Order: sequence, then structure tokens, then C-alpha cells
Amino acid sequence: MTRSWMLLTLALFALPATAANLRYAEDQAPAIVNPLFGSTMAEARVNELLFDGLYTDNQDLATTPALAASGELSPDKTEMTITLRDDVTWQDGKPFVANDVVFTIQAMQDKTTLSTEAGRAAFIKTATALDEHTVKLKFARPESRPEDKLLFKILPAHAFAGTSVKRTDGFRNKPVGTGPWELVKYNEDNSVSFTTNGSYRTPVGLSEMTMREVSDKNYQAKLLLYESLEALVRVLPRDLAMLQNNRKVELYPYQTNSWWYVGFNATHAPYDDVNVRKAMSALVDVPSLLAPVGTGDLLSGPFVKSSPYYNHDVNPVANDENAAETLFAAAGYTKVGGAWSKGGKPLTVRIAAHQSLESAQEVAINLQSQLQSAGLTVNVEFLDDAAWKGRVWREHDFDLILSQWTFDRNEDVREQFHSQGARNFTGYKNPEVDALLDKARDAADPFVRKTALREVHKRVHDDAPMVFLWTLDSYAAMSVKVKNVVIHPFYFFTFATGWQMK
Amino acid sequence: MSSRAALLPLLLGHLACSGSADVSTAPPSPLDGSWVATVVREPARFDALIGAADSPARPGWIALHKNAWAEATTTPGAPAKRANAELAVLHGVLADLSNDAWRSLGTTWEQRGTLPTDSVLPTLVALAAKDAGDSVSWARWQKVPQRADPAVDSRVAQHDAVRKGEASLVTAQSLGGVPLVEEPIPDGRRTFWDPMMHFTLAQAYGREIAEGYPADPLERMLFSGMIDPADSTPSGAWKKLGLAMPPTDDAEACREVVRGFDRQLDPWKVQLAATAPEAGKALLGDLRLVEGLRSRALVDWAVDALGTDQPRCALAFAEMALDHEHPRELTPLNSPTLYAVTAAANLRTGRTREALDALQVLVGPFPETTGLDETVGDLAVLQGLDRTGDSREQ
Repeated sequence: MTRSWMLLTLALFALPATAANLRYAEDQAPAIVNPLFGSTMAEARVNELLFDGLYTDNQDLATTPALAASGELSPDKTEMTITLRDDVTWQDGKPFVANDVVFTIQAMQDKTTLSTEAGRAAFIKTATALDEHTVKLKFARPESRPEDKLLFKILPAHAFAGTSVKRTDGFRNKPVGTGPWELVKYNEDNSVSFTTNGSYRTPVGLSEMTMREVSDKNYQAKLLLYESLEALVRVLPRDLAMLQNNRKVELYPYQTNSWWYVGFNATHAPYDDVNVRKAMSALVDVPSLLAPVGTGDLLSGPFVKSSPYYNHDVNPVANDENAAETLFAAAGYTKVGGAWSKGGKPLTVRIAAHQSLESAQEVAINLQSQLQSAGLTVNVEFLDDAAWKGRVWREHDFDLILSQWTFDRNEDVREQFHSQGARNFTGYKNPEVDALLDKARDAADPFVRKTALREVHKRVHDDAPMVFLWTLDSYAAMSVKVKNVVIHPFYFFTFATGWQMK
Repeated sequence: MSSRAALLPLLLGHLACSGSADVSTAPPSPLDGSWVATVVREPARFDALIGAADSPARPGWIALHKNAWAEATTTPGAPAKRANAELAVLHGVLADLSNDAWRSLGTTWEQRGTLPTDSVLPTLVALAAKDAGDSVSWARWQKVPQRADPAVDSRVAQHDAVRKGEASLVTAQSLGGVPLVEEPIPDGRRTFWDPMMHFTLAQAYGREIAEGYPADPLERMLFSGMIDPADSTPSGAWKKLGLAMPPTDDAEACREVVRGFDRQLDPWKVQLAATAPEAGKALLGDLRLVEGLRSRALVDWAVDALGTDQPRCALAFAEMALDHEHPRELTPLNSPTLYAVTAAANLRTGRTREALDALQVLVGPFPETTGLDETVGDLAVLQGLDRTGDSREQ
């Protein structure tokens, strides 16, 4: 028996289902459960189970109160007084109070916290608890519908020593929320068990949920077919045919605002030279990289093709070795013996990819092959989550990264491409793009925003901080035993309280 | 009344038929009366209909099978008529979607308190309301401060001419493709597209089938979602199959209806293949006939669900109709109306951004949908103006 089949066999017998236990697969278990530091979709999905925001989306994706009972905006739209629900308790039994809201906002804004969510609270100037269940927010500038920005998750102040929160804080393993489920335990097989929060304010259809780490995505579909899972949050494109022909499974298409990219580290040479970035972009044969992954749309910039911001006048970079040679020459490189070098030093590239990124191995190896055959020396490394967060996010210790960004329906790329963006770890910087992103953020007219972001698409394409690769369709697959499934197009589990199993 | 509803009597007058399928034995399943059964059991009839390799009708039937309707309209005979009927339905769905998008664009902007007073936008919203049969909104939006634009008046006159039959389908087709009005603003320009386009096209295509619609049952049904030429509605299969549209807009109940349909369809397909002549069996597999019938039937049901204000059901039907192997392209299983109905249902359930995913598939093959795609995009942008976006890795 091969190791792969042994793994599958083990997985089949792990953690049997109970009547209302929904088992879903993630490529990798979340390394950290703390909404202040969420950086992956897997973490966002778990946060959706455990935590609430002041407001949330209803099933028509309109903003509706969650922990807030009501909100009143001042006539000049610079202040909002929010009355909180008085019937909410944290999962450790303590009451939810206004100070929790104030703490969360201050923790997000505390520069020593280094929260990945800092940008989402930047519009709030001050947050003050007026009494146990009333909060007053003052805004940096008038806000027409501030509730639309108050969807971030609220944390319990009593679980932290202060607003300077560390990623390593014990909360990450023992999270306490107000959400519909609570985390019971981390199991030895890297799965995570959740049970219903008994004091949740509405009925919850699934009494238990289990997040199972199935790092080999090729097995996820098989486990679903063998009824060892009830849900896949993201199906490999190549498994769609098999799953759609099985009547025990149903496919649910959801958001498609995600795209793959190869990012250059523009903070150091030679990738701070646009000619080098463009030369390497021209060496990439994107359709060949995509082929083993499945079908998808090739992209020319940081939006997907169906986005209102996609600039259809901009074409994807062509695979053109002659153009690459001209650009390398302009950057001072010469090709000797088939290898590119500058000052006698060969151009050596390190490509890093997160080990849990689906199909990343095939893509990275093929990319390595393409660049090597064009005269570069290329090393590939696959990083686990801790190494990825450390080296890529915090230390910017990489040359090229292969990764994927997923956006909610606002497709706000400010954090990725503004020089002050919290997720701009490639170090991209262009004052004109900053100004356009500022204009888009401040726009009161949709046409102003659309025009500005289409221009951002063009400028970013021209600056080539990334090789924009493709977007893939996102599908969830569910056992037909799971009923009343409505999937949030980004957070996935927002409406899961209504799901049932039969 | 929705434009789709307004169109139905016109279409049904031609789609309904008093004849019956030419099946000589009493059918044990309602599906035995379907065009699939006829083709598989009597492949000679199919061959006679499609014609030889050099038959002028053959390309039309091939195009109809591929859901390449524009191509089919350029061929002679029955396929062109059938394609015109399909295009009438398609544009009827798109007209409803357009009217919904324009009215939402106006009201959402108005509710934000930033509706421009020097814009032609209220005029366009009023026109969409008028086409939607929403007389209250029509009257109200005419009173909102707005800028008059002669280009709009001229365009309204052109639409009127087509709708009254004084101008041709070609005229209607020529009205799309470029923006109707561009307004300079300090930080750029506003570009507005024609809100009346799809309603006019639906009527123009509908008029193309007023005469000469095929009478032969197989010609009327081949590559459709109908199981019986006597169906009086596009979703006439409901009752014959013992299925019932849920009374409320319940996606799960509608999914269960499809599961019930599949429980009949799957064994029937096996039985059909077992008893079919070799030529019929080959057609069944090569042309994916049962899958095509299923997909088209579900699209018909989705259109009906939209017409009865059940967008969640419509979305459920559309999602279950989609051939997920090719989710972004028109194929024999993925028709243009599938994407139109998906977009319309998404918009009505608040998923404006997701509606754009479906519309994007139509923009290439149907350039006249560019304006609708831009308008729904403008609505998506407007709805997100007050939001802070979220993004994650992987």
C-alpha cells in the first residue's frame, strides 16, 4: 500500500460523523485564531464561526446589526452612537459590554499590535464607552454609512492585558467569542472541534462542526465522496467534473475575486529595478503554468476580469524572450554562456510559496523550469505557515513569492498597493498610485472610483510589481445531507447557523 | 408587469402546440414524450430533420445544439426561428435585470444623499421604471432634478420605432455597443449606457417569430427544455413529472425539486440507452442529450421563478443547471439565458458583484450586453462606496 493510500485510509476512519456534525476540510489548520491577525481565508472562516461584529451581512448582503442593537449617526455624520445588545455573553460566561468594542478598536489601531486589520479601523478617530451598552465613535471625516465599515470582529477586553496584543498571546489557542460556535479542542490529527454556543441569540442548526486539515488537496474530493467529510470549502478545478456527476454531492459556486500572482520583492536589488521585473515577467509563460491547475482567466492587473475596475484596455504580459533580453540589457545584465549576470554575478532567484497553496508545487516547479531555461538560476522553497508569516510578512526576506489574494466584493487593493498598505509586503511604492488609491477611497461618486481604480490597474501593470497570473472559479462542495446551505461569498460561514444535516 | 411577463403571451402563442409527440406506444414515463426519446429511439427522424452534410439547415441545428443562437439566426428555416425565440427570452431576462439595476442605481445613490442634480441619470432611471411597468417610480423619477439631454430623446424615439414595428431588428441591434451619454465631472466623466436596449431587443426578436414558427413537434422541441410539445408554459414539465414549484422563495425546496427531477431522469437515461438502437445510443452520448434537456429545463424553471419573484429558487435552478466543468463559457449545456438568469437572480438577492461574473460570460458573444455589464458594475461600485474592503491570502 502506498503512503498516499495509507493516509487516505487513516483519514477515512478519523473522527466519525454524528447526526449534526459537519466536517469540513481546510488545506491547513489555522495557525492562529485571533481576528486581529487574520491573514488567510482559513482563519477568516474560523473567525466567522467564533466571533461577531457590531454589524454583519444578511442573506441579501445588506448590512444588518449583530452585536449592535441600533446606531444613530450625528447630523454632520462625524459621530455615531451605538447601542449594544444587552443579552450577549462571551463564551466564558462574562457579559459583552461597550468596553469590549472600545478595546477591539484600540487594539487594531495600536501600532505595537501590528494588526493586519489596522486599516479597517483607520476611519475611527476615537471610541468611547458611554455606559455598559453604549459606544460613541468619532470619525476622521464624515461617513455616510459607517455601519458598512463596522463588520470587523469584536474581542473580549477581559481576555487581554492591554491593547498591545501579540500574535503569540495565549488567546490564539483558547479563543473566546460571542459567535454561534465555540472552539472545543485541537485534536491530535490537526483537526479542530467546535460545538454550539448554547447562549447564542438564535437557533443553530448544526450542533457540532469539525475543521479537518487535509493538506493534500487531491484527497479532499475523495473524502467527500467516501462520506468522511460533508463539506469542501474550495474544490480543485480538476475535481469539478467528478463531483458534479455524483448525486450525493452538490456544488455551490461562490465568489471569484481571487487571483494568483508572482510578487517581486521591490525593497531590494535587483527587483527594485522595473526593467528586471518586466524582463522576468516576459519570461513567464502563464498559460503553461495554468494548464495543470485547471481552467481560469488570465489577468493583466490586480482585478479579476468581471470586476468593474478591470481595465480591459490593458493586455496580459506576453511571453516574449526577445523583449526580456532587451529589458535585461537595459538593466545592465549580459548573457554569458546562456546565463544572465551583472558585474560577473549571476542572477539568482529564490521563489517562495506557501506549502498549503493548492497546486503551488506544480506551478512553482514549472516556473522554476521556465526561468532556468531562460538563463536564471532559480531555487524554490515551500514555507510552512510560521515561516511564511515571519519571512514574507514581517521580514520581507524573499525574492519572488507565489501566492494568491482573495478579496471581498469591494475588491479593495489599497492594502496591497498603497505604500502604507498593511499587506504591501512586496514593498511596491508609486506616489501616483497612492494618490489614485486615495481618490478611490474618498470618492462619493461611483464613476470617480471606477475611473481611478481602472487607472490603478494600468499603472500597476506598467510598474510590474507582480506577474499577474490568473483567477480560478471558487466552488464549495457539500454532501446533499447538508440542507439550507447559503454561502457568504467571502466569509463562507456567515449564514451557517441556518444549515442543517439530515 | 416585468418585460419577461409581457413577452410571455407572444412567445407562448408560438411555443404551445395542440399536436402530440409521435410516440406510438403509451409512455410509461412523461420523459418518453420528450424530443430526447424521439431522437434516441428514432435516429432516422433526427437524421432526416438535421439533413445531410450539405443540407442548408444542418449548420443551424448544430448552432442551436451549441447554444450559438446568433449563429443559428443566420441559417434558413426552423433553427433560425427557434434561435430568435431563445434570443427573445434572453433579452427579456436581461431587460428585467437592466430595469432592476437602473432603479437600484438611482435609489441607492439617492439614499446616500449624493445624487447629482445636474445629471441625466434620473431620466434614465425613469425610463427603466417605465419599461419595468413601475408607473410610480416612473412618475417620481421624472420629478427629480435632472439635466435634459437631446441624445436621450433621440434614442427614445428610435426605441419607439422598433417597438411599434416601424423599424427593424437590425435597427434595434445597432443601438448598443457605445455609451448613450457621457458627462464630464471634475475627476473624470460619467458614462451612461442605454437602459432600454434589452426590452426593445426582446420585442424585436419576438416579432421575428410571429410568422413561420415550426409546426413539426420535433422541430419545435429539439434541443429545448420541453418534454412535450403540448406544454403550455416553458416549465410545463412540472406537472407531468409530478413536481411542484414551492410556493415560497425557498432555495432548498427548489434544490429538492431538482433532485426529484434527477431521480426520474437518471434511471430513465439508463433505460433509454439500454433499449436504443446503436445510432440512437451514439447520439445520446455524443450530444449529451439528456444533460442538455436537463440543463435547458432548469433554465426554463429559473426564468419562471424570476417571473414569480422567487430569485433564490431561480439561483438554485441556475446553479444546478450549470456545467461546472466549463463555468465561464457558452457550451451545449451552458446557454446564454443560463448566465442571464444567474445574473438577474444574483442581483435580486443582493449579490451585485456576483451578477457581474455571469454577465462577463455574455459580453464577448453579445457585445450589446456591454452597457448592462457596465451599469451593474456601477451599481456594485456605488454599493461599496461606504465599505472597507477585506482581503486574505489563499
